[in-house]
Amino acid sequence: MALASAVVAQQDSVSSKKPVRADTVTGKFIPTGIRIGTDALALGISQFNKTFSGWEMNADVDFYRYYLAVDVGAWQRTYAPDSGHYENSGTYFRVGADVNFLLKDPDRNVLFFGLRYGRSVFSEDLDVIVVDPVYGNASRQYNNDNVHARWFELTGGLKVKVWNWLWMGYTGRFKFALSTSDTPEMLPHDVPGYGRTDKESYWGFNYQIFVRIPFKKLPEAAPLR
Amino acid sequence: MLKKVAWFLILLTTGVACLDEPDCFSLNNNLVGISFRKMYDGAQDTVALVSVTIAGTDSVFYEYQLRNGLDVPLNYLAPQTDATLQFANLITGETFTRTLQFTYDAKAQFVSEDCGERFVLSNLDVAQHDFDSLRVLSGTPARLSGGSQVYVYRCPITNLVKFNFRQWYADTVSNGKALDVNISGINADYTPFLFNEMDTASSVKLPLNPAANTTRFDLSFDTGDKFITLGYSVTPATILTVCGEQNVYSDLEVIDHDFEIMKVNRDSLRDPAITNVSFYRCPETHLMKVQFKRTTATNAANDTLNITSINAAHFGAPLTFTTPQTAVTLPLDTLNDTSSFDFTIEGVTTTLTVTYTRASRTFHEVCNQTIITGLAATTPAFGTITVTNEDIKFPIVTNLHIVKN
Repeated sequence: MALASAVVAQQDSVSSKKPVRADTVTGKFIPTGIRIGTDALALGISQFNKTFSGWEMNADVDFYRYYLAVDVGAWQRTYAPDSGHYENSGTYFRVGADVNFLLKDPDRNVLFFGLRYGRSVFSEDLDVIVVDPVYGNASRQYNNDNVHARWFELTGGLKVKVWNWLWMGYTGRFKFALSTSDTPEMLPHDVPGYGRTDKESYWGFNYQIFVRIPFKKLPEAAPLR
Repeated sequence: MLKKVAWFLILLTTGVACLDEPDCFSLNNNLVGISFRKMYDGAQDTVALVSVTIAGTDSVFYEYQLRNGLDVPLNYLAPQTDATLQFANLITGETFTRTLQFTYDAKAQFVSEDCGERFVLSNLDVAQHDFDSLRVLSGTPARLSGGSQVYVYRCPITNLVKFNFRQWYADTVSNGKALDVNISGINADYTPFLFNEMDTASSVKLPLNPAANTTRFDLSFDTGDKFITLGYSVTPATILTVCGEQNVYSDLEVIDHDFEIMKVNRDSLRDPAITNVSFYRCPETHLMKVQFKRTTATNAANDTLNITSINAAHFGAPLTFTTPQTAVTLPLDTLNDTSSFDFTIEGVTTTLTVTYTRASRTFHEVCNQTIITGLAATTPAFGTITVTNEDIKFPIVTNLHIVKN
């Protein structure tokens, strides 16, 4: 019996030495910072492509592993084919949520998948010179003013801390379910933020540079006791 | 850090490479396919188009063509297109005009810098027409020809009688085979119009006089003239509501004719026409074919002779030739067991005599024919003669190979 008691006492001593991790649930859904960036790809294309001019700003706020994301941007396209002239300009925004799948990354890098809802307002002008073998030649002008559009996106991408407060990342977008308001004269060619309207779905890609502004220190895991 | 920058540059390059480069669109979808149909059964109809003209253009389409359908190019810079179609009656040749007014929505769309713009048409409709009936199958015009968006129907033509020319053979097939005849022209007693002028056909469709109960047709063939007078009853009736009251022709009968053999197949008329009267020609079982050869070898080449004429006692008139012949078909004397033919070749006359056995036989109950068998040639002076078929057959077969001396 004494031996048993000694064994039990020995076991109690071993059990009391097993570390107990502190509770880390409290407060984890409180945002820890805001990340603001821009689409470098859009800026780069604007510089080298004469037909496109645009910019996009992105922002996200973390709620533990979930991020609220907002994009705002503007596009302008100008084409001058042999048969006329086309111009399109407008603004857009997207709002949605991402889920981070890199929870244990010490730098808080983000591998995410998410959803977006996009809306755009744009105007188009088309001047054409028609050469028809039956009806002859003619010139016409067509306009779409303040056309509204909406669509949805499935997103996925990566945001990686490059240095201190500088982040870089990319986002792939599968855009679908485009809907535009009625246009009596002309079918829309391009929707800012979405792309060409001739396809039921559309792939997009952004390459972003962010600055993260923390307003709360990232919670640390409590020491073992 | 360098590793991360390099990684992002690789991804950037990959992303740019994967950007979707759009292709050019195709053409404007401004073609309306029209299919001509018969209202009675919905089957395709063949029409004789004299011309198709479209308002706003000087172009003339489909001039003098037999068509089942056509394509009309719509004016995508206007909200409507007016087309005028001029037809010719396939039987009488009279021309008539029909009009169509198409309405649609046309929207422009920029495609790309390479392609420029296109026009997208939708909500196609026919606002006005003067055809018997019309149906719009699709409200979207086509980019390419080949399909039909509009069906145009015509009411039944109820007064067409169909004549069929048939050749009987020396067999028991009661209907024989279709026989192409050379027609100089066909007159109807109620109209000066000449039908089937210089035509070769095994059947003809002719209009009965709607204002009478008889019609006489005079038919001129390359072998002579014939006539037939038909009697019938005409009863007004509504066959199809949209066509209103039309004449229905029935109780067709042959009042008089001078064809050798004639049979009434059907005493009522319909559209499409089904044979009402068949004319038959008995088999010719007394025709002998002579083939001229260079040698007596089995597969010897044919020879050509400058034959001026061939005469025989049983001929009404000599057979004359203006071109060299490699073969001739000669009618044998059905009243005798021998026939002699005088060939005049390059000014020299030579006689070919053949003998045979005759028998009488009746085909198809009305064709009393002479059957000729056991053909033999008895004039070796004419040339080297080989009998290849000693029985006369119909259709004709080669009976003699002759290597002329």
